[in-house]
Amino acid sequence: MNHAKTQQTDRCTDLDPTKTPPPIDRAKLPQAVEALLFASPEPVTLERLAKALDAEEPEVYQALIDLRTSYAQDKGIAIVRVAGGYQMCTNPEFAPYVSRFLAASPTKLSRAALETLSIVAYRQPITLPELEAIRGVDCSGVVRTLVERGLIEEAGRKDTVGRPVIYVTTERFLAYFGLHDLSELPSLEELARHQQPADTQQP
Amino acid sequence: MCCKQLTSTNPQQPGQIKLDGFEGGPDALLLSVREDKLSIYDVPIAQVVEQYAAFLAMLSAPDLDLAGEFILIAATLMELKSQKLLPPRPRPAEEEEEEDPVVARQQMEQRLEEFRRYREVAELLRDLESQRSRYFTRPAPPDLPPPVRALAALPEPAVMSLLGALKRLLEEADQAEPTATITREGVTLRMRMREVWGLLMSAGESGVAFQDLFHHGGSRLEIIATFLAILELLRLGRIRVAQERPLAPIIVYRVADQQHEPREDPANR
Repeated sequence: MNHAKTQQTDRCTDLDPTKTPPPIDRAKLPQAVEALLFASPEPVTLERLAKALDAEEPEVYQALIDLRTSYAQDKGIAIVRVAGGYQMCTNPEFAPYVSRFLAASPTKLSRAALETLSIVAYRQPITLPELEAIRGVDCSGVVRTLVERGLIEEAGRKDTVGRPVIYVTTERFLAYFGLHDLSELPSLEELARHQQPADTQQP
Repeated sequence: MCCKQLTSTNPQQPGQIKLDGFEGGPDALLLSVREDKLSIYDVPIAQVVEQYAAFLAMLSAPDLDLAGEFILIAATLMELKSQKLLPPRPRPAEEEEEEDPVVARQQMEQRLEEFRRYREVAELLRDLESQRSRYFTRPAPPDLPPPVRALAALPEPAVMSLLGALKRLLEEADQAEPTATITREGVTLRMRMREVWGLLMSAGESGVAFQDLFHHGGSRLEIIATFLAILELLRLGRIRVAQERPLAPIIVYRVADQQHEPREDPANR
């Protein structure tokens, strides 16, 4: 207890992010993970958690499971698995209240933006001309907006005439749509199959 | 899920086209034709264009996205209709292979089919977006932009080592200044900030060694102005300094922040 107290004051007096903190008390791993998730504005991977705590991934994973179990019950906060990591979010049950409280209705993406994102998601890495060939319209404005919002990013240039920039989706893209990874999206073949029976049923 | 959602197929949405036997958006019209639910012969394209043009004109601000998409759809409809109406033109045998209208049509259909699937994905993404929008997360703290957080992970030379580097430079300057003739130079902090920023911009990712930001043989005043310019840029979060290990050269980088990119010149703020 005493030891913990001195540690506490130590941390208060000099917090230097470049310094190695004292080793974590293993019994407190779940709480430590909780603190990190709370402090992070973005999903945190298991690897980053383990690195931040100087702990092994399996033990941090176990702590994470314990923590998620305690959050699985009726809580205002949920820990969701998204974009290859974990993130604290408000429980969707209370979304209407949070929304009113923050006076924030999330800005929704336009149809053009969603279509462009769909194409990038399935055809990445993809260049602007390739995108435009599929959509049949100028996409530079949409692409700029998507890059500004961090949903897609440049990933070098294609080795072809004009060396056009190639684009890929980002982790924020996954987080934005609540996806864990890209494989959660249906394959194009699956979509084609879904379409067939639906068509025949229509009058 | 209680979210109201506007989708492209929502019948209340304006921009609908009304024909005998069809009512819906232009994309739905094209789809119906494609899927043979509606014969292209029954689609008066002039009327379609007239109706949609009237809708576009009604918008308070011109929507180029909508207009562009509509032009594509109208052109596709016209192409389909002309293919049906005109007898296939006989061609020389060699050319036929390349420009076979059947192959061309198949290709176009394939392309449209692919695009239709992406549209479906777009609808799926819209659903996911609205589901996900019910999970509120903590916003990124505005005073901690990502580049600054990345800096914390780098071994950062303490102010002491910056001062040490300054001392060395000043000593060099003392040697380079043999006489006592003092001409007042027009050195301003703003000028130096612009100069340092320019150097860092052209250096890009690799950064510039601390010493290289100073003019060789420059006066004390120049050196101090440059040093202050570096500190000021550091304070503004526009640059960062790093060192691979103790005593290694200090490298100065510009902070690659997209938000700052258009405002190239920090001295102008």
